[in-house]
Amino acid sequence: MDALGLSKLRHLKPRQLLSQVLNFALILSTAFMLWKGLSVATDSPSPIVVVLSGSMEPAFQRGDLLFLWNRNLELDSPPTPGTRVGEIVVYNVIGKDIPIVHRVVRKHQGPKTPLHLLTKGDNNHADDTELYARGRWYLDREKEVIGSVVGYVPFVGYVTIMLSEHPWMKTALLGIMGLLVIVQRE
Amino acid sequence: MAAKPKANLHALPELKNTSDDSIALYLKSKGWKQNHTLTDVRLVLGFSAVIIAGGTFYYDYTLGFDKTKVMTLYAVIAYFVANIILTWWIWGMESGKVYVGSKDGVTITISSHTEKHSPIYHLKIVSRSPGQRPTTTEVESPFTSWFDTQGFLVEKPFMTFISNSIPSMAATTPEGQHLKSKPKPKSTKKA
Amino acid sequence: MHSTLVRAQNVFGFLTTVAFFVAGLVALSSLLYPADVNVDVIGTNNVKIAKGRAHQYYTSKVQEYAVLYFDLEADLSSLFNWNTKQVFAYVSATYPGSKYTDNEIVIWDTILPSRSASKLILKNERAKYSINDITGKFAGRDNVTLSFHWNVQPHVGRLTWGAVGLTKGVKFPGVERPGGKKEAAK
Repeated sequence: MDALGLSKLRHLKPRQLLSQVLNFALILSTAFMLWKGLSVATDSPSPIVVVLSGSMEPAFQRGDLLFLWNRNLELDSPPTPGTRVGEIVVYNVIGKDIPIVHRVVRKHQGPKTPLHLLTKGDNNHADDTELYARGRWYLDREKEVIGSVVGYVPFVGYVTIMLSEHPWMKTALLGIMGLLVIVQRE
Repeated sequence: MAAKPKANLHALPELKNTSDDSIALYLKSKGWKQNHTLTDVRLVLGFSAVIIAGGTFYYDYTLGFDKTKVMTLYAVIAYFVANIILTWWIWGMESGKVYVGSKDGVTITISSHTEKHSPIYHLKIVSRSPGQRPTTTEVESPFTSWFDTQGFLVEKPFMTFISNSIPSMAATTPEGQHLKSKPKPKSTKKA
Repeated sequence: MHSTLVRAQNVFGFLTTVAFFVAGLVALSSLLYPADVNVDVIGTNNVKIAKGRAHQYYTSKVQEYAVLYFDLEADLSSLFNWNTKQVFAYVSATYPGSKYTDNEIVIWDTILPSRSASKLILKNERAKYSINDITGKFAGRDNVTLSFHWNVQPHVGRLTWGAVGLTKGVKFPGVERPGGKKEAAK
């Protein structure tokens, strides 16, 4: 135990202990609030996503990081180009929990109808109708799409794939980080 | 003291932190009363920010993104404002102060710092007595004066260093006579 | 032990920072290469309407399909620079309607992996994807225009889109019926 420096914690006075806890809490909360800030700015519940499948290869590979933007929809402001065909959107089908990154190949919109989109993976032969909620031929832009891809960084997200495929790594990493922050003082 | 303070001799921040902590312990034993206002304000500011973030997390988790969008925006702004104030407090107000306390009407503020790759402990002591102008004393001494080869802090030389550096103690404390390495006053100026 | 950890941490932090700045510079360098796409020919010829089964899943609905042949000559070589991973080129058809007033569908696309494959010469090319509408009706549609688009996928950085060449609107004929009569969409 002493190797981890835990014995030092016992000598700390209440204020010092609180300071250490605060340092750790501030790191976590700052990371979270930066994420939320980005989320509010882009109007997307998940402004950065990791590519999980190869259906958009060779453009995107597994583990690539995508930055999304969810404003300036055609619904919001008709003069500015909103979601158009050729854009790559990330959608969450209602009732399913896996975000999918595919290209818009069709759009149909009317003054009284929501913006309907059909998507397809560049690397897939068939369009995505099969992936949509049963009986649905199109996506509802406003309800199902969480953003449109505007930025790309390769490979960086692979860590999260590793972490989600091996849950023990997540626990271990969090534990080590927490311990380091509490024990270390700058 | 229950256990001797020990530091890793290869880590400068640890030497500094251990010494900083020992100042308060020593002065307490000499009847000084520590004033915690600086730390308390920092804790209140910091934990307010953390509570804002915690609340945002809870509402976001339970209600979802769309319903909490506007509130989240305000929470993000409030959080970063709190952090700016906190940063200003740490850099502007605390600015390296490791001890504020008083005894017999004399108030002292002790700040410490080290320079990169240099095992010298620098102290700045501002002493205020009622009816007099505050005096500033700057002293420095190598950590090896009070850390032994195993990294234990040896009380006596350290206490001597401290008491000799504080004007209102230097005259009265007997430790002053057992000096091994004299603290060198770098400058004593009236502020 | 402690200092080894600290050193490892510092090296890792330094490498991360360097990688971040290099990626940022590469992403910014894309701005130095302005897109200068030449589209010499884009035109529609030979349009007709057929009826058939929907190509989408979960349905065997019979609906109207448009058959369309087009010409295209374009040079996309200026889009290829050291930060271009691929270019996705596509032709879309835009047309109005009554309930859905704003429709755009991709009728042909291709992935251009390198500069050597960046010249497109298509003569009387048949649309790659089926052309049908969300309403199932296509016969008699007027003012169908074609446009050519591209999406530049960088190695790192911002995704960009461009488009040129809206053709003159074409009118689709009514459905060919055994009796020779034509039926127009409402």
